[in-house]
Amino acid sequence: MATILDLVEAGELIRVDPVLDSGVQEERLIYATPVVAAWVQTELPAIASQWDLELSPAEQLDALVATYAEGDVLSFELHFKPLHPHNDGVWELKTPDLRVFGFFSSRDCFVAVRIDTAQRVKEHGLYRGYVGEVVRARQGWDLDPPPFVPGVDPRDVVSNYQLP
Amino acid sequence: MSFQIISSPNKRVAARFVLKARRSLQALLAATPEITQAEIARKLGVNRSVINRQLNGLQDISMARYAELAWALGAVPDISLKCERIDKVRNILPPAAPAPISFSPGHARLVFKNSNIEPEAGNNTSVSAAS
Repeated sequence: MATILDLVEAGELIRVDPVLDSGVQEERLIYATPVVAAWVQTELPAIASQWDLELSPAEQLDALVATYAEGDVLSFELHFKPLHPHNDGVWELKTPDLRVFGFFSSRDCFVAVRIDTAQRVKEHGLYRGYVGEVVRARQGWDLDPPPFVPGVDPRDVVSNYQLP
Repeated sequence: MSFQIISSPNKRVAARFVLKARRSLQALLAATPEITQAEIARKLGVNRSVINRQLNGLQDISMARYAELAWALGAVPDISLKCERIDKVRNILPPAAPAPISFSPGHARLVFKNSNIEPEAGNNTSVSAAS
């Protein structure tokens, strides 16, 4: 059995530093696998927006993570969304150009297991595969029960949100 | 051990400002269910899909369009800026005459003032782009 902090100490997870302004409390936490961290640091900076937006995908992700970490209002389905099959408790964090796949180990604590561009995920039908990767990674960590927040109710995973 | 997503502070400030501005419109839309995207589109003379893309972040919003969208939602955008450097200067200078622009704590933000609320009603309801 392990906690999220145990996994951080073991190098299985890395904390995402949202770089909040001084005096701003970190209300929500986000952790990432080394795979996600490596992709963000090496691949992401070179990726351009599919929609030709002024914010690059990296900037979109930074802004979303800051919003999440500050505890600001997130839009259900626009910023975070449960994925099928719903029993698996797998969620995605979304920007116009990116999809982050993971789960909530507890309310306001997201574990990012995989990340990819929205374009690639849609073109190649990668949703099912990434959901499976999240489930397998979570099972492999043998987290203390309950290992994740089940269900699809946004109230259970995020403290401050609005419906679309 | 931790990592940051982007290291450039100017890019970081810009990205967060853009998202906060868009979120302020989304929040205003959610708070006014009687106004639909179709109604906004009609007021601005564009297709509803344009409004949908702009509100959902799939299309950039110019400052002018930001004001138009706010107007269509019954609000007036207002701007306030935090200038840390000037705040520091003020701390060491004697009091001066009131400046035409006031600076307040908090980063650059856009604040809606609901144009439908009468000032004398004492209602200070507003939707702010900043927390």
